[in-house]
Amino acid sequence: MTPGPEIGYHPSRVLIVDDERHNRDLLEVMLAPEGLLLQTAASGEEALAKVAQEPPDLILLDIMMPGMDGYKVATDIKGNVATKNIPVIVVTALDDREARLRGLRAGAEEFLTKPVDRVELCVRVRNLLRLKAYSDYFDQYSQMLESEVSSRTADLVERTKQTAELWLLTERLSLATAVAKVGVWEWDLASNTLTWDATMFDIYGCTPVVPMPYATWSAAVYPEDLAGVEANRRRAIDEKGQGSGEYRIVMPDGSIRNVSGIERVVLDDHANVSRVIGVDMDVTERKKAEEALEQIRQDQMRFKDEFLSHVSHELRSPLTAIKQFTSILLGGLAGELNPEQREYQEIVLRNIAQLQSMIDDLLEVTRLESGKLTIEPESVSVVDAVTDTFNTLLGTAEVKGVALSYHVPADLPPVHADRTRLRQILIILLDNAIKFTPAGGSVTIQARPLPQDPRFLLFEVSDTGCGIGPEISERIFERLYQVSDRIQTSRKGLGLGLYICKELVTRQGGHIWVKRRPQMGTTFSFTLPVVSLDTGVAPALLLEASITSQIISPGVYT
Amino acid sequence: MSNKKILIVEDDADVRLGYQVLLKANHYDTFFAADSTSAVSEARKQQPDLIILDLGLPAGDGFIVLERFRANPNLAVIPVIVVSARDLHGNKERALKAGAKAFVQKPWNDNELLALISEQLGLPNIVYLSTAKDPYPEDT
Repeated sequence: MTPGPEIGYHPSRVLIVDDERHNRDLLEVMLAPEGLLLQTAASGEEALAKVAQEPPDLILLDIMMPGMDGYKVATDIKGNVATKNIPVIVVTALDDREARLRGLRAGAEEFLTKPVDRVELCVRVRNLLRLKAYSDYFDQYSQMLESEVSSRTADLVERTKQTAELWLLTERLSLATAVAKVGVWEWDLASNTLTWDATMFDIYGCTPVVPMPYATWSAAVYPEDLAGVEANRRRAIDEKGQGSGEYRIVMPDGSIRNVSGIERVVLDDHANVSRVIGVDMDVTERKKAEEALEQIRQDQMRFKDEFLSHVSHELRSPLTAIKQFTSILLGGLAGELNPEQREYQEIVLRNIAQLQSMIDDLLEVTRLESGKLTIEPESVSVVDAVTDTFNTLLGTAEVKGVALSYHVPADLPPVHADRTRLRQILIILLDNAIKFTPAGGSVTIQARPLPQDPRFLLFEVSDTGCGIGPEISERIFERLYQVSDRIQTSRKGLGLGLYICKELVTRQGGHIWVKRRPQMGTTFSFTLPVVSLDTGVAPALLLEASITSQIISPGVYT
Repeated sequence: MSNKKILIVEDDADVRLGYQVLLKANHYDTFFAADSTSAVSEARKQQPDLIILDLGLPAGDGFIVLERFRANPNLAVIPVIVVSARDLHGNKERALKAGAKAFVQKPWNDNELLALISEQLGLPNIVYLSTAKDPYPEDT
């Protein structure tokens, strides 16, 4: 129940309206013992002004006044919403019945006859003031109640709306969990009991029990998995957070299913964990499918590797015979060839070499991807590796009319690398450089400490190739990447060489990149750690960032 | 001085003919076996100075042939060069461990093969009759 407004104890205000001063004084004297706050007005106009200024609690109103008479004053006051509740007592002559009725019709509550009787005056004034006080009190109270009711109604409407939304949300959620076969559970720590929804019982294949002892659940978990699940849960409780995991459960019929769960703790008012809520999902089928997919993927990978390996091997056999007899013909072992025949046989031989290197690349990539490629790092002399490669390709460069040179400082430390792989990288880069440099150009191999990080050596293979396209691309190190080659179309490859290079460099802890200096050809650079860094994986370098803008595509590098 | 005898164990008839032409031109006497069983019997019969052995053979692969050679004191002393289309990686090491003197990847470079043969036979570097110029010599 709403408490009512406080009742004020301020003195009541009474306005005496009479044009004759004598009458006003008389009434004032009579009312003096009542402890009222008395005010007077000498005319109707003055009375209305005072009422407007500060409404009194009661008005004693003379009727016969010059100017605005008492009827008019009463009519005005009672016609105004703000003042209509002010009780009005009309004061008239004893025999003037008509005047009294007119005053009452105008809205006055009471009348008094002149000469006024003191006791009657005081009683009537007191009664009317009491009524006025009650009326005021109830007005206020009803206003309070009204505002209370309207605010509570608004609350109720809001709450009803929220409840409806909550209900909808719950419906949707339970629909979703039912369709997705997601079970919802709650564990009350104090009672150590579980509350499960219907899906939970479905997942675990048991008949509903409410509430369910915690032990019923833990007995259903696959014994080997229980410790792990409970450790996760304890961690979630300790951290007042959440946890998730996958575990196996044993169904009543003894079959085993996979369950994936997520759980979250609920805190009480003292921020202690009081409950844990969670969802469980049967992922047996998904797991089976994943395993089957993984098996298929592995089978396919193995098949691909075996297939590539087999095909490459089988391709080599006929290629062997082709090369044998081409060499026999070129060697004049079946009679001398005329210059034209010789030229054609040389074309055949050149294409055999190309085919041969493609098969080698194919096998190399198969090895890289099947994880069969092994890197056996050791301390390798850079001078030896560079001169060895240099000697291998010197003949090719001479045939092409390209000047080949190298520069390795005598005091350069050895690299920590696989000897065969380093040679392989250098040969691919050098062979490419020669291939794309026209006659009269030059190719250089350089090795020096990496200026940015002396723990690495920097190898650079530079050419003056004009046969290199200006297309900017970082993709040249990608597997099977090829760009259109405008200059030289006679030698196409599989586009595996640079991919092999990148893999080999990366697997040895280095980086590889390419840059083009305007008017100065192309430089392929790579880094390898020096021996002293032999602590496992070399730190990654982020050198590309500084030279990205210079990376270009040099055409078909095979 | 009589010609050195080379036994070629190779199942591909075309490749066998190629060997014959090349080696005959280089003054070697050639004998052939096309499977692993006849490889051992031919070797016993001919007592060659050198054996060229393929790995992929009918009736047991080249590694079995290497084992049988090694088990026979008369054959164990004959140098064997394995010439195979199989991958260099893994197979070279395995062949050398099984007693082979060298591993040559098919298709080979004639000059390199001939140099290897004369080296194994302790012959001076001969002037090759094969004069094929390989513009892109492969790394070995």
